[in-house]
Formats: sequence, C-alpha cells, structure tokens
Amino acid sequence: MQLPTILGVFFAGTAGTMALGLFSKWVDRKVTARVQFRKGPPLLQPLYDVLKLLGKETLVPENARRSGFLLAPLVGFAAVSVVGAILWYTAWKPGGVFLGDLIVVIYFLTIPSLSIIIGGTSSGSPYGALGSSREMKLVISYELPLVLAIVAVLVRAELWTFRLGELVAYQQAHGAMALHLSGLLALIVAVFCVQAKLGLVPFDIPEAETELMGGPFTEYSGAPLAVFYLMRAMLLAVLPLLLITVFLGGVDLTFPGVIWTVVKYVVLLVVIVLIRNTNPRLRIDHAVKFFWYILTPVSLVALLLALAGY
Amino acid sequence: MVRSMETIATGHPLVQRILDRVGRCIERVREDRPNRVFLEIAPAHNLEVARVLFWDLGARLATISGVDLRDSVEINYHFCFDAEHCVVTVKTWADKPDPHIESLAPIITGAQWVEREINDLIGCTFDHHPGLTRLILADDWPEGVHPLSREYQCPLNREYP
Amino acid sequence: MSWKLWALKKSPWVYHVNTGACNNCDIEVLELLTPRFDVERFGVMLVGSPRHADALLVSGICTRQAAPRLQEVYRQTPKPCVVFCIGACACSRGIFHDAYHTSPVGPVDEVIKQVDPNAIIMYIPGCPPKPEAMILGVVKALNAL
Repeated sequence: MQLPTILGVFFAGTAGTMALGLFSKWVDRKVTARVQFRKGPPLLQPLYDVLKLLGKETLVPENARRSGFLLAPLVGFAAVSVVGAILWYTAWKPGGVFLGDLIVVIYFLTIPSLSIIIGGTSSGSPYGALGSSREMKLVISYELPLVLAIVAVLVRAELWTFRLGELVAYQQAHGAMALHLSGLLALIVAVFCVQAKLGLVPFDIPEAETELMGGPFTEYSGAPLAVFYLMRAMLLAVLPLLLITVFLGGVDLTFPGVIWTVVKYVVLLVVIVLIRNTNPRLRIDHAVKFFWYILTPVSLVALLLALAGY
Repeated sequence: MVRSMETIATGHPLVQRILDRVGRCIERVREDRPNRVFLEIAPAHNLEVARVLFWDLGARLATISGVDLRDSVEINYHFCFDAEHCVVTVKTWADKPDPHIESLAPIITGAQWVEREINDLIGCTFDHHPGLTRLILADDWPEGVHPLSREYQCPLNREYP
Repeated sequence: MSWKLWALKKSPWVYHVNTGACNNCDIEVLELLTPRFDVERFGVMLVGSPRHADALLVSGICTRQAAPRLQEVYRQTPKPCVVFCIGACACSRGIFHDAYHTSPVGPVDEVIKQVDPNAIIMYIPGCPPKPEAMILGVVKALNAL
C-alpha cells in the first residue's frame, strides 16, 4: 500500500470513528435517560461537550509531571485511531490489511488503559495515584479473558494467520462464530471484558465519582480532558465494532448487509448500556476475583470446546 | 443522700436501680415527663455516677451539653437506656471564673471530642483530659475567646465593603 | 458571540461546594440532579472534580476555615466559569449575618471577588430555593452571558 493511501485511510478512519463514537455516547446517554423515565440530552450533546472542553483553559498542577500529563491523552487517542482505521479498512476491503493485524489490534487496545494510568500517576495528586492503581489492577484482570476469548474463536475457525479479513471471510462462508457453543461463551466473556475496558459500571472502579472525585482524570481540564473524552467515546465505537468483526459475522458495508450490521451494532451497544444501568459498582477485589475466578475458567472452557470442534 | 424526690406517681423503675447504687451522690431527681429523668449531682461525683451508668448499667452516652449560666457553667451528661426507652440526664455545674470539672474521657473514650468542643465554645476546662486541643474553631481564632459564653460580644451589623 | 461561549451555554458542567451550610440547600441541589427535573436535557452534568466544572454551586455562609478553601477551589476551576450562590446563606448570610466564626472577608461573593474581581456570580435566593428556582437562575445566567 502506498503512503498516501495509508494516510488517507488513517484520517478517514479517525474521522469516522470520532463521528460514530460521539453518536454512540449519545445513544448511551439517551438509553440511560429512558431507563430513568426522563428525556435525555439532544443528539449533538457529546459534540457540544467536546467543543466546550476545547474552549476552556488548561490548568497543569504544580507538582505534576508536565510531559506525561500532557502527552498521555494524545498517545491513547492515537492508539484508538489506529485500531479504528484497521477495523474500518477490514470492513471496506477484507483481506487488504497486513498479516497479523488481529495481534496489533489487541495490543493497541491496551494502550488507552495505559494512557489513563500514566495520566493519573503523573497528575501529582493522591486521587490520580489511587485511580491509576485501581486501573492497573483492573487491566491485569480483564486482559487475559479477552485474549483467551479471541483465541478460542481463532481455534474454532482453524485460522493461524491472525488476519481479521480471513476471520470475516470464514464467518461469511460458515456463519457467525457466535452461533457455535464455544463462540457464544467467548462472546459473553468478551462483553464483560469490554464493559471493564470502557470503564462502565459495574467496573468503573478507577473513576468512582463518589469515592475518588475523578480518579485518574481529576487534575485534567480543558483540551487534554477533551482528548480523553474523545478517546473514551471512540473506544465506545471501536470495541463493539471489534466484537462484531470477531464474533458476529463481520462489519458489512454493502447494501443490504449494512442494515444487519447497524442492527447488530445498536443491539450490542444497548446491551452494554443496560448492563451499565442495572448494576451497582463492584469493589476492586470483587472485580479482580470475578475476572480471575469466573471469567478466565469460562474462557478456558470455551477454548477447550473450540479445540473439540463445538 | 437523696434530699428531695420529685417524681410523678409512676416513677421509672430505672431510677430505683440508679439510686440503689449511687443514691448518696445524687442531690435531686426529677421526672417531668415519662421516660425523661433528670439527676442533679455535685461536680465532684460526676466520674463515679458516669462509671455506674455507663459500665454497670449499660447506658449509652449520647452527648454532653454545656450551658453558660451567669455565675457557673452547667454541664449535662445525656445517657440513653435504649432497652428501657429512657433518657437520663445528669446535671452538674462548674463555678466561674475559670470553670473546671473532671473529664470523663479516661473512662468513656467517646467523650473526648465532645469535651474538646465544650472547651472551645464555652470555656470549661476538663481535668485529666488526654488532649484538650482546639476542635471546631479555626486555627487563627484568638485564644481565650469563647463564642458561646456570656462574655462574648458578637460584632453586630457589620458593614461589608 | 464566540464559539467558546456558545459551547459553554450548551453544556454547563456543575460542581457543588458546601462552605458551612445546614445541608438543606445541598439536599435541594441533589434533588435538582434527580431524574424528576432532568437537567441533562440542558447538558448539565454533575462532575467529580472542580477542574472539570463550568459552574460552581456554592451553599453556606462561608466560615473562617472554608474561605481559603473556597478560593482554592475557585482558582482550580478553569475559566470561563460561573459561580452560583444557592440559598439565602450564600447570597448574604441571611439570619447568620452577625454570627461568630464567619469569614471576616464577607459572604461567598466577597470571598470570590477577593480572588477574582471580575468573577461572574449569580444569586439564587431562597431557604432553600426550589429546584425550579435554581433552573430559572441557571437559564437567566446563561442567557445573560
């Protein structure tokens, strides 16, 4: 691929992911409002939030580490943009992306959590440090089940090339992975891990407003906070797209498959939001035990079932 | 020795149990309303009466309140007997100027902060208190000025700039 | 009107500060943020840190100890921001006008003006003000900006 093509894909992917992310954030707030018997914010509210944050002044605390503090949001934003670009390109031209892009996606999806940790610890405030330590414990817990779930799907499809495009082609030929038992278990595990990665209740332990003020984001204001807000909105768009690509048959941008894709995306988003609205927040030790003692064995069971061919 | 007993006809059975143990310290017993007992004692006996009520009879020290009467500071210890649905208030006094009374903190730990607050606001000193420092007034509040005592003159009708 | 001010009107995030109130106004602020009055329609969201906030909802008479802390919270709020004095105590100290232990600088607006003479301050009287009165105050403030 030529460099202009790569850059074009990257910028188009970023713009598309940003638009989809802000729309998903609106869906989140609107569904939450409806569950609470009220009207929610208007459609463009997340956009107004981002514009407002860009217009405020940026305050850096005195004993914060300036470089880490200001660069952390940009690093996270860049990583999510790359993942979005890869997923959109896979949807547009399956088989056109490089070998091993699934591994790249998994690795790059850990970077937003790392950027939150770095941002929190370089804030110079006890709330930031505490929020970062909780985020670290959470990341240690949910990464393994997520990877095991994706590996279970790959084993079931008997693909060892780690190409997202080939996984999508397999699903289009043999039906979605979630229709098999191992795929279904892996999808359930993945939805919980995605809930933790997005920082939504019941796993929004790092940014527990009633306990930690803002957690890792306490000292952020103005433009860096706007970048963090955009990063989390883009994660809300990218992670369901990843789940659809790996488990539910792939993102199909051609008519009439695009209607199915939109339905799958909205249903997945609404499931995530409803889990968020109906559960209380867990304590960090409860969350770690949940991921290590319940979800990791379930994902191992899914892996064994996939090996057995179910 | 009990000097005068002004109880209504149906006295609370708790009163008799208290009188059995510390009757000689109590100067007056009043029960104006059902389940509300007032015992007046001399200040020298407050530790003993409190020990009997808290440790022997199992009451709960709800709070301690202080009132600045002109020539003395009245200290009220409010003990709640939750099982018997009764509140017993032990009234004692400390003479001004320079009011002193024995602190309950060595036997009841929960009295520490309440006595610090009374010391801040009214000016009564509690002897043998583990740490009688400022609790609720600001650090730059002048020493020796007690806002809830009768001598304190509040600046009235301040004009703001 | 610049785009910054326009975006600020569309999405005011609030942070609540209590400088020595009886908590009645705090309860009414809490009721304001419940689904019954649904202030999220206007973009109002409660945030956990003053650095994320656009509007400070201040209640209380501003005691001696609370005054420097309120000033610090105001300094930590990125400008442009609006200060809402909720309740009679925050507007002018109300019946605690002559009380001991209040800040010698003055009530909440004087304390804020000591830090920033050009602060935008909005007064919402009441003891406590009804949530409808608070919404009216916020709307008037945003229209006046």
